[in-house]
Amino acid sequence: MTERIRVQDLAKTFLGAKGEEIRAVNGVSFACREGEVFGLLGLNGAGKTTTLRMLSTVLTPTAGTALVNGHDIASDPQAVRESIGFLSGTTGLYPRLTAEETLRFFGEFHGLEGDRLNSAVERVLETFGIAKYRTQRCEKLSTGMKQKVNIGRAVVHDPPVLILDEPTSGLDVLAAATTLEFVESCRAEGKCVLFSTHIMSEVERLCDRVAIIHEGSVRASGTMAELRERTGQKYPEEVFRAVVGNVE
Amino acid sequence: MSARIGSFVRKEIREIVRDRRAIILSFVMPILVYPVMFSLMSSTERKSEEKVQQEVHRVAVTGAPEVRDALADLERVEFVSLPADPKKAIADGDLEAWVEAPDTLVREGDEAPVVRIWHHVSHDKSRNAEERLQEALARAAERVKDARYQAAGGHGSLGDLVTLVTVDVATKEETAGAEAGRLVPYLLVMTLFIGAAAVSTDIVAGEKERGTLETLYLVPVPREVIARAKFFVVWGATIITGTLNLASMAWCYRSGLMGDASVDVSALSPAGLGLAVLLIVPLAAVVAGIMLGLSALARNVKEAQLQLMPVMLLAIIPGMLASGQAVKLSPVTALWPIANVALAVRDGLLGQMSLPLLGLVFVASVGWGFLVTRWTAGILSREDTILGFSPEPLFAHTTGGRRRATMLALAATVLAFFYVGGLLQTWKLLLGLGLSLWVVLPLLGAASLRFAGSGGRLADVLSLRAPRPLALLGAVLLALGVGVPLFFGVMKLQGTFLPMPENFMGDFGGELGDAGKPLMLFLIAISPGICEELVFRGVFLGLLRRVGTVRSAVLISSAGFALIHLSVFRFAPTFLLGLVMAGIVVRTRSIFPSMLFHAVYNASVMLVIGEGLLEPSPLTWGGSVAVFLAGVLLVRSAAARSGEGGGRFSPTGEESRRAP
Repeated sequence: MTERIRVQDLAKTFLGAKGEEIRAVNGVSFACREGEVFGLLGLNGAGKTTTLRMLSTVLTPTAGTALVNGHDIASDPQAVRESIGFLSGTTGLYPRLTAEETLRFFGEFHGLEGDRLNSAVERVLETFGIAKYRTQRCEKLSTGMKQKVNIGRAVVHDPPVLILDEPTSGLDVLAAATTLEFVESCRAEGKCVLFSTHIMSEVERLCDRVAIIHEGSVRASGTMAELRERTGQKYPEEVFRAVVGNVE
Repeated sequence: MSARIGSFVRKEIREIVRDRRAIILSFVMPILVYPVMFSLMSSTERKSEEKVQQEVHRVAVTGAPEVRDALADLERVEFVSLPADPKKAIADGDLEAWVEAPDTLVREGDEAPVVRIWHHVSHDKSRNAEERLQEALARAAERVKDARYQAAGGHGSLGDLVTLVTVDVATKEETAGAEAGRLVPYLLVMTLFIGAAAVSTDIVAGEKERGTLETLYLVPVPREVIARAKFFVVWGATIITGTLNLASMAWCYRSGLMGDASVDVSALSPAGLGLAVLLIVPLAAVVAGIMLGLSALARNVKEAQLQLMPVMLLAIIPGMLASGQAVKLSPVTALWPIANVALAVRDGLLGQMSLPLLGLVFVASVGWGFLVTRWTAGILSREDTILGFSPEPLFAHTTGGRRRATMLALAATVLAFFYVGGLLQTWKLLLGLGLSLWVVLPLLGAASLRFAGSGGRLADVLSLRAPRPLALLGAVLLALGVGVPLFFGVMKLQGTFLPMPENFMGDFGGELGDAGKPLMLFLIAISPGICEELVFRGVFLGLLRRVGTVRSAVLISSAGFALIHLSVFRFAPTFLLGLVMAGIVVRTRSIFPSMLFHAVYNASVMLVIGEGLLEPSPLTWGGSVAVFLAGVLLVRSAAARSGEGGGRFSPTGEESRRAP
């Protein structure tokens, strides 16, 4: 299987409240392939979001490299953005645009026009069951519906790589289920999905392989079966605890 | 109940106080903004008043000799004979006013004789003359009337002796232009800022708050394209706001809503109006860029609004400069951002346009717009801007944080010295001066050192090192040689575009003059030599050298030093002196030669001005320059021997190494 994401020694340093250096990500390395859901597991503040933001080119790494769909995130950020669909809790929707306008706006930016744009927008509206809300402004939509539009916004250009940062966070059961079904369908279509979460049931259900990230570093990676074997633990929570240690 | 309210209040206050950005923006910024605004306003007003005080008005008086007699005592009036065409002479500025009285001041029935004062409303000088003449004639008429009333034994009513009528020779277009010229530039600038603020707050800070900015930056286009697109939106909105406001103002004038201030808009020069609309375009670019950049620095809408507030206050200044006629559009003012357009619009409405100056205003505004746009694009491409977090605290213990802390400390020192020192000196001049220099300034310096310092030996920061004797001698020679070039070179040159008020060179009379020379020497020469040097060449030059280049440290500390003399007229000379003194410290690595320079220079100025300033002879000029150059050579030689520099002496110390 073709490798879609390769991350090598990626690091990001911020300055703290007193000007001290905070290493949010400290030499992270992993690789994801097409047709695979790769889980990035970690506690809040472990460095998952910063890593994914670097892969989406919104943040510039302090050190290290990463290739997304063969493009370097530092030297060719535009090509990277063309190849990915990125969704996180902080990527909001324009409240005064309708669902359809949102999809069209982002589709156009990814080079879709005319019939290609129309069919891409219709496909997304149908896939996510939001066709009847197409003329509603996003601010009027329910949380679940907004999430569907947001996922639609991320995939309207049919990217080979999906980067999803805790996509079910804050969603109700049905909306979360829709999101997880969507991830599974992406895998079936041969897409590469990089998926960050701290919900172990999602890991069990979706991830082919995982990397456990803690305090900015990858502490362990492999399939869940491999990690179980390595830690001697049965339940995913116990596996996780064994890898990161007892954290206060 | 009250305990619960107390708990809520405590919680709210704690939250507010911990929002340091909001505190700085809503409390500290206005403290910094108002002094700048008011000192500029009062300086402009003073300049305008001084100009009026110095004006000599050419006035023609015809008719009854009593009228001429009533004006005889009026100062600064040159009575001239009536030109062949007095209205044209007034319109051309050859005559300020014409007082036209009947041959005899005799009442005809109930009608008082009419005295007309002809003037031109859009010429400041003519309007001032008209006001003075009217006041003088009214006063004289009252005096005569009182005398007659007394002579009549205090009985009966005499009625008005004369009826004063002012007649404006301006054309309809000129009158309309004069009225509109006072208000329109001011309102235009303000409305552009308001329009830009509304849009820029929403499309950057608002996007951050809603989380859409990160979504937007995920699209595969360069960040500069997004920045440019946002700029175009704000620019367009600002242009539309400006044009609509201009149209609305025109309608208000036309419809009579402005009451007495109503003017016939159709009488306004179409060229003037066209110019106003045309100049909105580059002006809006500058305004849009400023507001967009500042809005981008904010993390949310609330912060953006707080950040833009001081700018909106400062935006009053350019419009205010154009509301009178004290500030003229010149090759210098045509380069000022924003104010240049306000002045050009005013002149356009007054029908006093100069094409080369207009061209310069346009080019300068486009240039400012370009610079501001680049700054904005830079901010909008930064990851901390996009994600709405600040990667570095404002006063972090990093070079950038220390630099900001030092700049804030410098600004606070200048302002605190101005306010507290000013109050003390108003209370008691001599004691106040002593306290300002020996207590207020050192305390401010110590506080700055504590707030912005980053450790290190105090003696190193303040350059407290024993100097070489040659350096001290060089400093004395520099101090003795710099006076003539400074007073008769720099200040004279400055006077050509910024005329000095009379008696500006220092009035050593009054309480200060009575103090006696030893006390004066102590207060005016020795005290500034020690205290001002310790703070500006010690604390601030020392701190700034640690966070930037020597050149920028010399320039910024000298600008701070010049600003504590809070006078537009003294800025350039004190800034240059600051450069020389900072150069001495950088070259000799010791503060003592600059202390000596400062004391000797102030003492020599005090003694020379006390004797009266005379234009120096070529010999004095030559001698001064020679002494100055000798001082330069000595300081340079002392620097070379102490191992610092060794190249050309430069007041900015470009070739010096950075302080250890």
